[in-house]
Amino acid sequence: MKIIIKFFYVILVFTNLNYLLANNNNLRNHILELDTKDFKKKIVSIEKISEIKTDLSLLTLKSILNGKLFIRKSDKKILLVEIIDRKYNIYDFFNEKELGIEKKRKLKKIKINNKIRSILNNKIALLQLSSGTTRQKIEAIFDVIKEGNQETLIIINELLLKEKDKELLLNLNLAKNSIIAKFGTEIEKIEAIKNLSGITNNNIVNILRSIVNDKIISENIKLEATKSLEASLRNIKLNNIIKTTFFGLSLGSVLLLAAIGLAITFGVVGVINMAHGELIMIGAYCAYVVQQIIPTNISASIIVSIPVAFIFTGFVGILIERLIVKNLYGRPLETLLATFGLSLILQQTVRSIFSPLNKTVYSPEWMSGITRIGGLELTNNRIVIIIFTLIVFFIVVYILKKTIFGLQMRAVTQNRKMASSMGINTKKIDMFTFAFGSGLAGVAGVALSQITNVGPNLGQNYIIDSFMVVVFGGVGNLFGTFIGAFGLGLGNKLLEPYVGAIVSKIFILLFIIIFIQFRPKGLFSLKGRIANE
Amino acid sequence: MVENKNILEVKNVTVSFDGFKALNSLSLEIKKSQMIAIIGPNGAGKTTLQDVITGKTKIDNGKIYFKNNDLSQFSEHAIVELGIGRKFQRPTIIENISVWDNLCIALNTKKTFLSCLLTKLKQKDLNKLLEIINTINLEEKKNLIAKNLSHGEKQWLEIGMLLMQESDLLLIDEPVAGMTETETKKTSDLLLNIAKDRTIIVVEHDMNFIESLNVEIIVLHEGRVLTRGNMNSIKRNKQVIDVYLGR
Amino acid sequence: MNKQLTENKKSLITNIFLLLGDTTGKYLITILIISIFLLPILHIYIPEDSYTISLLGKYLCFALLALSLDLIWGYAGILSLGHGAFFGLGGYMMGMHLMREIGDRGVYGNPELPDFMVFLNWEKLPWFWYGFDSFLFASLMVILVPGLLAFIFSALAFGSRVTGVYFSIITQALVFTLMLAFFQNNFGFGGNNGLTDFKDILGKDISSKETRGALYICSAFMLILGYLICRIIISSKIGNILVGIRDRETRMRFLGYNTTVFKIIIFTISAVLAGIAGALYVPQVGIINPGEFSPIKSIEIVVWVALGGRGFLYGAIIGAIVVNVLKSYLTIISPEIWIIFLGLIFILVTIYLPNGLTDLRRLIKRYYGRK
Repeated sequence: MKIIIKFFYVILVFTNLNYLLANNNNLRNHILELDTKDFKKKIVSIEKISEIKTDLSLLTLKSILNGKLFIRKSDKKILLVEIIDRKYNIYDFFNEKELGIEKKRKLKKIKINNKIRSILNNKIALLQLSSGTTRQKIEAIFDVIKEGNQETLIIINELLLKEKDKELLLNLNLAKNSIIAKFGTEIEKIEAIKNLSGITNNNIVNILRSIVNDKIISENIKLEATKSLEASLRNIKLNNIIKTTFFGLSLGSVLLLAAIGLAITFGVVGVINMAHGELIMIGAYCAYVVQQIIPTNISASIIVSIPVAFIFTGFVGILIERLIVKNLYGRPLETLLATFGLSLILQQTVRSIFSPLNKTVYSPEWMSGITRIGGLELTNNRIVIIIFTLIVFFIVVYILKKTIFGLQMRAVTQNRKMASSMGINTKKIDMFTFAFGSGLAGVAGVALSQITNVGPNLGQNYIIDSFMVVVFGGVGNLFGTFIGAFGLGLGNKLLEPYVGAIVSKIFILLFIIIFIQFRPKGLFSLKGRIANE
Repeated sequence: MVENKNILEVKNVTVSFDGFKALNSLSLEIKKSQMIAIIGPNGAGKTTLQDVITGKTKIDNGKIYFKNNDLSQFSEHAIVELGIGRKFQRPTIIENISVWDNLCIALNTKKTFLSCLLTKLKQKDLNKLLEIINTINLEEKKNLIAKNLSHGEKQWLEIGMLLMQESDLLLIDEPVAGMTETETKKTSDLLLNIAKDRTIIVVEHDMNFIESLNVEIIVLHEGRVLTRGNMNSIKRNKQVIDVYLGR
Repeated sequence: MNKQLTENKKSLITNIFLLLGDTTGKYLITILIISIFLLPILHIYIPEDSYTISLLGKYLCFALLALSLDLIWGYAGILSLGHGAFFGLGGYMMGMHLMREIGDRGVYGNPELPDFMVFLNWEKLPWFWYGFDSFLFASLMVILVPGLLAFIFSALAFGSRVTGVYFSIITQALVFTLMLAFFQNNFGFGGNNGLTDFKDILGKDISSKETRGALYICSAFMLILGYLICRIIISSKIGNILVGIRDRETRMRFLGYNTTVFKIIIFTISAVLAGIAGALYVPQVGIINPGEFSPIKSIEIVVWVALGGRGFLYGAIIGAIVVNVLKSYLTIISPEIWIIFLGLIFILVTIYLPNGLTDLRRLIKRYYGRK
C-alpha cells in the first residue's frame, strides 16, 4: 500500500515539475520578447507573462517594475541585478544563484514607461489577488484600488462570488466601488460614491478628492462625492485621535512600568536610585538570557523571564541597599551620586559581558502582528504592554493596600519615626522595599525588551523620563505616578504631530520644569506638618 | 486715639490639615513687654500657633496683627524684620560654624547680599556681640564649632541669636526640654533677665519651670484658648484638670 | 579675643591678601602664576609639542568649572546635576563668535553664513546670530546667557522652595532638554556636529603656538580670578550664611535672611563662572557640540568636586585636575577601565571620603600620628 502511495507521489512530483519547467521556458521566451523598443509589443508580452500565474511570473513583473530585471547581451541569460555602490551584482533569475559582478555595458535593462508601469501594477495586484494569504490578498486589493480599471473589475466580480472571507469581501467591495466610481455610468457612479462614504483608505480618499476636483463631471456626482469625502475626512480625523491616544497610552504604560519601581523606592526609602534605569536594563537582559536557554518556545521564554527578572533584579536591589544605600542613610544627595556611580559600573559590566551591540529578544506570535479596528491598525505588542502594565499596576496597588508588607511600607512612607516606634522594623522594610522596587524595574525591562532593542544603554533612555513621572505625579503616591505617566505619555504624543518627536519631548521636559516651580511636591502630595518637614 | 498696647493680636485664626483643625478660630492678645507662657496637651496647636505667627504656615481664616501690621502681607524673613524672633523646639543653630559666627550672622544689620559681602563689623556691633555672648555665658567657647556645644549651650546660643536680632517678640518653644536641673535654672534666669525690655512667649511642658518664671499662662486645647491666668488659678481650673487628665 | 576683633575689622582690600591664609590655596595660586610665566615660554621653545599646553589649558577650564560647582554645592548645599548647561552655553557663545571669524574661508566659501547653514540651505543668518561678529559682544553673551538662564531658572526653583534632590533632578532635566534642543538641526547651532573648524581668534591663527600659549595664560588667569572671587565671597559673612542655608535654611529665614535671594545670586554667579570656563574651553579644543550637554558630563563635574573635597574651593581645582589627568591616561589604556573606575570613585568617595582627598590626608595623618 505504501509503495503505491509513494509511486503516485513520485508521478505527481514529476508531472508537476514538467509543468513547471514548461512554464519556465514559456516565461523565459516571453521575457526575451520584452527586449524590444516597441512598447506595444512589450505590453503584449507582459499580458502573456501575467497569464502564466506562477510565483516566478509574479516575480518577473515585480522585478520589471523595480528595474531589477536585466538580460545579459552575450548569452541572453535572464538576470536579477542588485546595484550596490554602483557595482552590478548579478543573480540567475531562475535559481537565484549569485553570479558575481558584471559590467554595466554588458547588461541590458528591461525599460518601461508610465503606461506599462500602470499595467504592471495592475497585473501584479491581480496575480496577488488570486494567490497568497489573506493578508497578501488585502494588500493586493489596496493596489487595485489605486490603479484599477474595467478589466480588474471583471476579476473582482469573479472573486466576489468565490471568496468566503468576510474581511476580503469587504475590501473587494471597496475596490469594486472605487472602480465603478471612476468608470461607471452616472447612476452607477453615484451609487458607488455613496458606498465609499466615510471610508478612511488613503487611495479611496484620493479618488473621491479627484472626483470633487474634476471640472467636467456632473454636479450630482460632485455633490455626492463631496458628501462622501467629508464623511471620510471626518473619520480619518477621528481615527487619528484614537491612534494618537493609543500611542499616548502605549508610551504612558511604558513610562508607568519604568517609573513604578522608582516611585516605590523614592517614596518609601526616600532615596533616588540613579541605577534604576540599569535595573530595567538588567531585566531586559534577563529576558534575553532566558530566551537563549529556551530558544524553541518563545512564548514560554517571555513568560518565564518575568519572574526570573523580578527575582534577579530584586536580588541586585538588595545588594545595592546593603552595600551602598544603607551607608548613606539621611544623605540623599550622596545616595544619588553613589548610585549613579553604580549605574556606570553596571552598564560597563553588561557591555563587557554581552558586547555593546544591541540584542534582539524575539516576540511570541501573539504579540506580533496588527489588530484592525475599523480603519485603525494597532500593533499587538503595544496592546499587550498596555494590558500588562495595568495588571502589574493593580498587583502593586493590591500589595500596598491589602498585605501586611504593604501596610508597613505605607506606614514608613508617611511617618518613619512613628512606624518605627510601633514596632515596625523600618530597616527591614527599607530593604524589602528596595528589593520590590528593583524587581519591578526588572519586570519593566522584560516588557521593554518586546518593543525596543536590548542594549547596555537601554536604561539611560528611560531614567530621566521616569524621574519626571515620579516628580510630576508626586512622591509617595502611586495614583499620582499613574496619572503622571499617562498624562506625560498622552501629552507627548498629542504634541508630536505638530512639532515632531524631539521638540515635543523638549516641551514636556520644560513643562515639568515649570510645573515643579508651582507644585514643588507634584500633582498629588502628602499634606500636613510631618510632610512639610 | 489710644495707643494700642497689644503687641500681638490673633483674631479668629483657623488652620486645618486635611480636615483636622490644628487651630480652631483661635483668638488671643499679648501686651507689650510681657512674658507669657503657653501650655496645652499634645495637639493643642502650640507649634502651629508659632508657625502661623512666623509665617511658616499659611492661615485658612482669620488675621494676625503684630504692631498693627497684618502679618498675612509679609513673608517669613520680612516678619523677622518686623521684630519677631523664633526659637525652635530642637536647638536650631548653624552647627558647622563657630559660636561667634552664629551670633554674627544673627546681628541686626542690613541682610542683603551686597551688604553682607561688603560691610564689616562696627565697634558698636562688637560691643553688642560681647555683651550678648556674656549674657548667654558662652564667652569662653566663642571659637568653638557650634556642633561641639552641649545641648543646653546650644539652646542658649539660639536664644543669644534671637537677642542679636533685637526682636520685640520672642517665640520660645520648649527651651528646657532635655536640660539638666542646673541648666534649667540658668535658662529661667536668662529668660527673666532678657524679658525686661521685650515680649516673650514661652511654650513649655515643664510646669516647675513655668512656675519659676512666675508669669501669666495661656492654656490651649484643641486649637483654641481654654483659659488664661496665673499659675495658681490655672492649677485650680477644673477644665484644665479635665483636659490634662483626659476626663 | 583681640585676634577675633582684628580679624573682623579687616577691610575688604586686606581681605583679598589675607584670604590666602589657606595654605593649600596659596600654593595652588603660586603654581598657577609660575605656570603662566613658564609654560608658554617652554611651549614655544619645545618645537615638537603643540598639544600639551592646550591639554593643560583644558584642565584649567575644568578646574574653573569645578570651582563654580563647589561654590554652590560645597557651601550652599545646592547640588546641580546640570552645570554642563552653563559651561556648554558659554562655550556655544564663544563658538558662535569663532564661527563668524571664519568668514568666507569655510568649505562653501559663503561670507554671510557658516558652513552648516549653507549645507541646510538657509537663506540668511538667524537673528540670534547677530552681533557675534564682535568679540566684545560675544564675551558679553558668554556672561549674560548662562547668567540669565541661571537667574530665571533658579528664581523659579528657589522661589517655590524646590530644594534637595528635587532641585538636582530638575537641573538634570534642564541640561537634558538643552541637549535634545541643540541636537536639532533647525535649532540653528549646527545640530549634531556643533560648531567647529575654527580658524582665528582675535585675528590670530587659533592653532598657532603663540595663540595656544595665550589661551593658556587666559585660562590660568581666569582660574585665579575665579578662585579669588569665590574666596572673597566665602571669607565674608556670606560664607557663613551659605553654610547656614545649607544646614538650617529655616533658621536663616527666621534670622531675617531672604535665603531665596542669596541662593539665586550665588547660583547665578556660579553659572557665570561655568560659562566663562566653557568660553575658554572651546578655542582650546576647537569644537563645541551638544555632547557637552549630556547629563553624564554634568555628573562628572560633581565627581571632580566630590573627589577633591567639597567646600574647600581648592579641593575642586585639585579634584578636576586629578580626575581629568587620570581620565586622559586611563582612556588611552582602555575606555572600559575608565568607566568602571569613574563609577568606583563615585561610590567610594561618597561612602568613605565625604570630604574627598582632604579626608585622605587626615586619615594618613592620623595613621602616622598613632605610630
